Amino acid sequence: MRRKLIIAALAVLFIGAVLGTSSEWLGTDDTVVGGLAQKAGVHESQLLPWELTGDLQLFVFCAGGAIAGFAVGYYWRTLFGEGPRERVEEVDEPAIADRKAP
Amino acid sequence: MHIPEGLLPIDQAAGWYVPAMAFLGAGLAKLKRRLKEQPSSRPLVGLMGAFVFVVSLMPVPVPGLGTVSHPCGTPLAAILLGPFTAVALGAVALLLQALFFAHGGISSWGANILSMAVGGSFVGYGVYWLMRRLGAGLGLAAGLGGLAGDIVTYAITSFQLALALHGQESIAATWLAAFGSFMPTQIPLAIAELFFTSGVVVFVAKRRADLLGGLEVQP
Repeated sequence: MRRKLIIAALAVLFIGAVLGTSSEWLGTDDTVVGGLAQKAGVHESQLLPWELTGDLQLFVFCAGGAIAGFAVGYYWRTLFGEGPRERVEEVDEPAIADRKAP
Repeated sequence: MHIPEGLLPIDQAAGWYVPAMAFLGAGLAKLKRRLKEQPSSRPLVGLMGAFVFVVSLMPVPVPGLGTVSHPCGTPLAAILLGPFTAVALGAVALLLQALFFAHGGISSWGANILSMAVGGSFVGYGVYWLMRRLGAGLGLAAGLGGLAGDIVTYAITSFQLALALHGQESIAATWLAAFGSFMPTQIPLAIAELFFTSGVVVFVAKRRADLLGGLEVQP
């Protein structure tokens, strides 16, 4: 419980600090890499025939994050889960047995 | 660590591909052998694959600086699964990111594999291994591996950029400028990666030490 409270407090502090920082939140891929490229007079190019524009980029990132998140959760539960399904079955089984009993 | 399409001259891009493909081939062979000999490691491989993909794509904000950057995730995968397997997972993550997520590029895939997948994995695992040999605790050794893997990833990216974009300046000066520009944002993320890597490895050792016996970590 104490550990969870510390993690929650750190999360709140982090979010507060982020919201309290006034910035455009540019990534280092843009600022550092883009800055060097601009200085050298080189520009990014497009090799792939498709490009993520507008909200399509948001959709792709949400979908990718969700799929990866589900995969992480699934495998995490397979490896470290304390068997919530088994616990549910333990709770449910007597009730099912009761219902089937004449 | 995502060098985009078109910034590297074609000869350099091709040159980075050669060692990257050698490491990737060795990584895929190791991964195939592991899955055949230790089918029980499949969930951990799946977990780490998804983890590396999402963590290395996630833009993490750094409060105070107002910038964002990506952690790597490959040091943790290397500590739990071995560096060659982590290279394979990192390379697949980078390919997906280049194809569908506008991060990195196809021509720069080899360079990005060398920085994040090879550099992050081997340096992360190497520091972990060395610290354990020196008698460090599991959490400390893993954490320092995570920190070093993250920093070295950006050091390699800086070198690749310096080699390609130094223009009239020396490569060393351009490398220093690039690395120095990355670091204010990357050091806080590397420290976060230190705590995260340490925490996960210690957690795995406490909860499922059996997973680690046949793998690369000896608690």
